[in-house]
Parts: sequence; C-alpha cells; structure tokens
Amino acid sequence: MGAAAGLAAARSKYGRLIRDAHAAEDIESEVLIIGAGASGAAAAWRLSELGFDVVCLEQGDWLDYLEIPSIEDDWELIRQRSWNPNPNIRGLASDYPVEDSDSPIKPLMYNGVGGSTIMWSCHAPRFHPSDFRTNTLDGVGADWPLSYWDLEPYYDLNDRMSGVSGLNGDPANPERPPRPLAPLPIGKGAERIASALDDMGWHWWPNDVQVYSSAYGNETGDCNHCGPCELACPVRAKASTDVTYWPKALDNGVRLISKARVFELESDERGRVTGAAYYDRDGVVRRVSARVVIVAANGIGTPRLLQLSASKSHPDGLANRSGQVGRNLMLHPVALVTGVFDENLEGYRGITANCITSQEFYETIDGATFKRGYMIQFLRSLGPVLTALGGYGVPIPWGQGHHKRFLEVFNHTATAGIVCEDIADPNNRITLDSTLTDDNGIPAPRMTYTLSDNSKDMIAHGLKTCTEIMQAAGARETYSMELVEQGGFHLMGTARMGDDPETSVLNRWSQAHDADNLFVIDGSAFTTAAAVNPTNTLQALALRAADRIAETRGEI
Amino acid sequence: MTEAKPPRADDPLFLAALETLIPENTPFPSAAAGDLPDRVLEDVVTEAGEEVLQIFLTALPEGLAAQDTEAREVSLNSMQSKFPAEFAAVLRHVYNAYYAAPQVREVLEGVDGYPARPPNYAGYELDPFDDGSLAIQRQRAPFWRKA
Repeated sequence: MGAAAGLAAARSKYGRLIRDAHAAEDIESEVLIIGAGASGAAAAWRLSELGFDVVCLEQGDWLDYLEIPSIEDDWELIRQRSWNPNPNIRGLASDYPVEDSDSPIKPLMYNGVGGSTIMWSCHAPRFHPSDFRTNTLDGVGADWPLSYWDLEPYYDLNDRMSGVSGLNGDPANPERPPRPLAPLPIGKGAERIASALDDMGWHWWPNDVQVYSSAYGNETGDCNHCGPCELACPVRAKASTDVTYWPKALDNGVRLISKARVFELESDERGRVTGAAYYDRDGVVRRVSARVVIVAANGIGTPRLLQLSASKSHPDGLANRSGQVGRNLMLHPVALVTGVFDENLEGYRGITANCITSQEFYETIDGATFKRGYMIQFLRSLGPVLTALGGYGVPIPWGQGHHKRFLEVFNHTATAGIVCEDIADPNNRITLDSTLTDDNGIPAPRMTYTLSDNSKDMIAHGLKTCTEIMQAAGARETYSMELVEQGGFHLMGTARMGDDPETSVLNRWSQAHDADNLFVIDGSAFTTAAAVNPTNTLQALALRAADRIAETRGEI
Repeated sequence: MTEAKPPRADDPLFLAALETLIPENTPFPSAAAGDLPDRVLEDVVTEAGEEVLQIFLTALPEGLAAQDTEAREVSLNSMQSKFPAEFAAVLRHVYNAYYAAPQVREVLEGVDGYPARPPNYAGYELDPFDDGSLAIQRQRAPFWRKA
C-alpha cells in the first residue's frame, strides 16, 4: 500500500468520533455536570449507569480526529500555535483567557469534550497514603477528610474503565491489582537511566500509563510509539475521555451539550443550587435546571464559576462562606535536568513524557530544608524543531557550529523532570480579573502564584540529584531548566475538601458545605497536591462522588 | 542601518543574515537555500508580524552580504545584544521554518536516521519492555510510607 493510500485507510479507520447535541430551549435534568473533561466524563458515566438523568454542558467542542497535528509535516509548528497547551497562546474560540502575569508558572489546559485528557500524556500514578495526611505526618498542608483506602476501590474502577499499561509490584506504592495491559517499552534512554538507578540503589519503575500497549475496548487502537501524546492520539490508543467514558455515557442516555459556556450557577433563597445559565453555540442565553449540580471545570475554571455565581444567599460567591474558594492554588513546580549522551538514544520512539519514574525522594527527607518530596519523571527527546529551539532549556546556538551542536544533541538526550509537591498557600489563588473578559464578556480568571521557599529548596535538591543520575547513566554533559514556565497543567486546591466548613469548601464527599446539592469533582477539590499527576485521583474522586449522590438520592 | 522597505525573501541582506544564522554544512543546506527564505519570511510575518521583521532588517548592517563569515557573526552578535526581542523572534522562526522543511528533514534522515515524515499514522518500532530489567527493584521491600 502506498503512503497516500495508507493514510487514507488510517483516516477511514480512525475517523470522527463526534456525537454532537445541543439544546434549542431551556431544559431540566436530575443531575447537571459542568465540564466534559476527566472528572465530568467519569461522573456522567457512573451516574448514568446508576440510572440518573444527566446533562453535561461543555464550553468546547468534540475533537475532530481528522485534524490531529501529528499526521502533518509541520506538527511541531502547530504544537506551538493552535495546539499550544497554554490557552492564552492558543486563543481558540473555546478558550477563555487567564490573566497570569502574577505567576511564574503559566496555566495549561484544553477546553473541549475530553478536557485536558485530550492533551495529557496519560501518566496515571496514584497518590500515596501519606499524601492524605501531610499535616499529621509532616506538619505542612492539611489532612484530607478521607484516606487513600477510601479512594482505592475507585482507583481500581477507573483503571478498569480507562485501561492502564503497566506492572504491579512497585515497592514505592501499595499493592494494586494486575494492570489490565502489558507495560509499554521504555526505550534506550530509560534503559540506561534504569541501570544507573539500580547501581545507585535508587528506585525506578515503568509508569502506569493510560496508553494502550494493545487495544482496550471498542474503537481503540494499539500504541504505535509515535511520541507526542500531548497532541491527541489519532489512533485512539490513549485514555482521553472522549474515547473512554463518553461513548459509554452517551449510550446510557447522557445529554452532552457542547459549545455551551456556563456563566452562572443559580441558587435559591435557601442557598441550594437550582441550575446553570449558559451561552449556547449561537450566543443565546439558555438554562438547565437540575436537582444536583456538579462542577468539573478544572482548578481555574471551577473557582472562576463559583465566584461568578454570587447571589443573595451566597454573597461572596457560591459555596464561599469559608473564603477559601479560589485560594490554595497548587501546581506542580517542575524543573528539568537533561543529559547529553554519545549514543543515539532514538528518543523520538515512544511517548515523549512517559517511560519510567523514580519515587526515591517522594517523602520528607531527614535533615532537608524542605518538607514533602518529589517524583522524578524521565522524558524522551524532542523533535528537530523543538530541539533547535531548546525545548528542554538550551537552544542550539546559531552560527558556524550550529549543525555540529544540533547533531550532538538531537536524539542524544534523556531528561529528568523533577515534579515537586506544592504545599497549599492561601495567597496563591484564582480571582476574577477586573478588566479582562472572554469572548462572551464574562470576567476572566486571574492567577496569582508565588513559588515557595519549600519548592525552591526542593528543586535545588532535585537538580543535584538528577545531575548525579545523568552522570551515572553516562551523560557526557548535563544542563538544566530551574523552573518550567509552561508547566501549569496540574491545577489543584481552589475549592478544597475538609471536615471544617470554616477552612474548606467541600466535605469528604466532594459536596459543598454551604449547598448540599452542589459537588466539585475536579482538581479544585484536592486538599494536597502530592508529587504525582492528578488525573487518576480526580477521576477516582468523581466516581466516588457519583456513588455518594446515588446513595443519598432523594435526600439532596 | 538600512532604511525600512517591504520585506522580500530575495533581499540580499536577508539572505546574508539567514546564511549566517544557519550556514551550509554539507549535507545540510543553509537557511538561505532554495525556498527556505520564503518559508522563513512567511513564518515571521504570519506569527511575529511584519514590524518585527522590519526592525530586524533595518538593524542589519548594509554591508553584511559583503562581509566574511566571522565579520557577519560579529555583526549579528552585536545586533542580537541591541535588539534581543526582535532577534529572538526572527531566530525562532528561522529554526521553525528550517527544521520543518522537507528538504532539511530528508537530510536529517540520512544523517541521523530520524524519519522524514510525521509521527502518525506509521509511528515507530520499539523493543518490548524487558521484565528482567526489574530484578533489582523487585528485591526491594515495599518502602511507601504508612499513613
């Protein structure tokens, strides 16, 4: 088969997945979900399985699988522009701007069916038991009102629903069921690093990845090791929720209305939420009334919406009697150490941001100047354009030595990402900007964030550690990036859970203290950030919240 | 300093700048070869704006094209320090256009083995994970912190 015919056949096989719906009038539902991303999709599926009538409003649209950049020659240019993970750079109609001048880490997200799972690299670790008890154990942050063990059955359920390639038996984590799919290949660079970590007596393990080493369910494919999972997967070998949860939820009768931008959650005089008002795809204001409302709009979008929804019964913003809505924004500050090796590591083969991790320094280290710890996530190399531009920190210099240096670096690097646990600080927050608005004239969120001394010390430790690892792996030179500016993918804490209504927004069931028919299930609900990717945990929380809604059906 | 004029891909000054930023290094072409100047020009104007390119072009010394390589690099280094933002913007688009160009990707495939095609749908081959590589890690007792 020729290249053109092959392309046509592949396009035909992995064609569009769009099942669009919109409402031409105001509607009612039993449960309304705002946001069709990681958590909204999981909750929609679970509730529909349990017999609920569910409507979901999503401001973005379905992804068109025929328009994915990694099938184009200029995919690395598209990645910098219309597929940039930063909505301020991408600037699509489905996006809203974020005023981020007061944050050294910029916000990353995707707005559409699937949410940021469209752009994620599918690393699906679990929080550790200690992450739920950081105040008790280490005197920092706050304890969650639930434990790892409360969440464990929902992690297992999410694994089964989403599909995970990996291996159980990791000594850094509690035992878990056999992974549904075999681990993905780790490649030459990670093999070198793994060997070095063995020699150093330090931990490593192949990642739990929601990318399919072999097809997992209808309309999915096998991972072809193409690399840029962050540009969506044209062969549907990764667990974006437009592939996993949404088809099943729609089959169960969930009504998903896309291009529907919610601007207010409405509440009655008793403080109960009655539904949402939104702009539909034609700019017409419409309403959905519901008995239960779930917000799943990410750690920036959710506090923005709650603050936009002030009313007589919620004068400081919906569910904000504690004043904590928007506060305690937690990110994962990330630093990088890159090793340059003599060997061509062929780092383009396999998922760019996913192969092995080390959790050797996950917990508080005796004598360290910082509390809690970090995960080291090893990365493969970048394509030629991003290599030249210095995507991992150092651009290739122009001039006479350009090609020589390019060839020394291109495909000859492996990179360690130091993913730091962020300790909640009430001054790191999301507020409404006084001037900036989105295309509908809705006030934009303002992100205020300062990197803590704890994080700075943790990064310094991580840079030293990872430089040692790279040298032990045989790197002939190393260079580093002390803070990844375009690294704010993990948005957490801005409507946090807790037992005390004076210091938290949600109870142990992700249910608002101030409005018992309002739930928040995205990363906003997190009490601590841990040092691992949050998607698996927020999906587990969403499934758990759905079960709680079912258990209390008729009571709320 | 030269006077501002509409940017053209065949402007000798522009070509000299491109040739200096990415010189020919067999088998790699220079950034001034073939249709690369057109690609750079389009990329800069579309993404950074014509004004940025104008500032860059206006700041180039008039005699750049006649200078030898070393002198050109001195000139561009001087310009880079005087107009860092504009220089960085143009350089970004030179790299973008150059390394996305099919003729450069074909050379790269010949030199490095990196296929001159997009990642999908073909993807790449990788050896399966070797479970035996975990032998040392499997000997370690669980060390996650109890809570």
